[in-house]
Amino acid sequence: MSRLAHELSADDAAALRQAAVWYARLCSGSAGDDDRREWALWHAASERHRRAWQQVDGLRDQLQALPGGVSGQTLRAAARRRRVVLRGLLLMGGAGGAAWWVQRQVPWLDVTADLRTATAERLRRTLPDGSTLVLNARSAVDVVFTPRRRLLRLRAGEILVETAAAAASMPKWVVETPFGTVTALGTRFTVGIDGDGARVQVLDKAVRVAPAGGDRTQVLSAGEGLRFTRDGWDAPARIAGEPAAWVDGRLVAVDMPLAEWVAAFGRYRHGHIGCSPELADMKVSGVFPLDDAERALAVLGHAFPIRVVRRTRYWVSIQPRWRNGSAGA
Amino acid sequence: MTAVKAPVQHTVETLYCDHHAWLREWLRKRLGHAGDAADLAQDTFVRLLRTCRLPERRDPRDFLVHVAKGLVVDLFRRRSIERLYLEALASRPADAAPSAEQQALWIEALVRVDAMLDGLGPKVKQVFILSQVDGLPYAEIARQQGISLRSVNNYMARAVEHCVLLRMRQHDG
Repeated sequence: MSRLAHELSADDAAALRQAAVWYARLCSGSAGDDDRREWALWHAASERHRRAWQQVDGLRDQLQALPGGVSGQTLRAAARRRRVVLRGLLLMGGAGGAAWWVQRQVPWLDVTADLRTATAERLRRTLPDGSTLVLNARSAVDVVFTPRRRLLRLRAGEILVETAAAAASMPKWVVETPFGTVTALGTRFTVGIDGDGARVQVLDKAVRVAPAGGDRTQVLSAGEGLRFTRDGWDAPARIAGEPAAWVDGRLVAVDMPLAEWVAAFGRYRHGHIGCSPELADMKVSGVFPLDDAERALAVLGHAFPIRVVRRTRYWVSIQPRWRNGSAGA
Repeated sequence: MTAVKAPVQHTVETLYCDHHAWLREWLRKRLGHAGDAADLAQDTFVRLLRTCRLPERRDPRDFLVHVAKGLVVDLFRRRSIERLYLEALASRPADAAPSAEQQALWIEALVRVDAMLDGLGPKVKQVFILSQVDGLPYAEIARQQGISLRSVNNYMARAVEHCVLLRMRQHDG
């Protein structure tokens, strides 16, 4: 009897479902003799049931092979890193669109900021309540922790926040930006600002976004991101890629506009990096090493129809491969 | 991607001669790493030999890229799991250090379970891990996650069904 790998008969599929339901029932920690007797009747009732149950046994064996102690932690951490990434890896969209993207100057870092990073630097800190804060390159943040407040004032750049488990009695956890606030209703999210607005991406649980110029708020859940200004917000969108991969020194792009890619590397490369306007919306995908901008540029140049034009060591412009000369960006 | 079963080693050899260098270069451009690219190009052909799956004549390069992309995903998954496992290990008080061989087996087991849980929603996955890996009773999971016992039970059934379906398919294939 040969059966194609991906075709199960309806009866087999139903038996597998029943086996799964039985297993779920028996694993609750409060299953009793009655449950086990009923299961035994089901198990004895047909060959198909027994075959389905073999898969459950196999699954149990597979889980038994995991190392003790650290497996749960490891698998949870792995689950947090989004995998969308790899699906989009190596794909390429077309060029087009209009928006003229301008490289901003190195942001002026507020001297009163408690924590700041320079170009190509990252910084990780544990906060007084046990929460974790990571600063991306060229970022600055004030930390205001008192018995009444848990506040980060984001002055420049981008941060990742992972709040510790909170007791109800603790003050709410707020990231303040020039454009409004982000209140943590859960544990893990990134906030970044540029000259025009702020962007929030939620990795676990949820946050509440409150633009400064109004009293409307928006709750954003895990897997969603949005951009907001003082006056409002864009529609929340599913996160593509791994928004916090910079913590590990990688930029994971999935259909990312080239302008955004350039902005990300702008934080990691001394000098100017820009792209010509007709490329600003070109979608790029891939995994790029943030700490090695030259290599990332080389990868980009191989995989996409662009060329990298250099005037000096510190001035780099990304231009379409089909254009000659060195005008632009 | 269509493929036919054809245990003809000769054909893999032909494919190898015609496309191996091209595939290696294709991977190198995308990964930016010559060593990884060479390994994965090699593994792609090894996998073809092992599974006896060959492309239909028309688009051998599309097929090779399809297989290679799967291997890229595997490689990234393995590296990520390995790093997370070592991090998790480092955050615990050390008991007797396991042998390198044992560690490799454990990492392999983690990679396989991680891959198996792909495609489950985050909540379902979380409940499954808490129950089946951490061994918590449903009441504790419900409390911790702020969901009902019924939801825990439903999530578990869904996760287990996903896993056993996958196992059945893999073993049939």
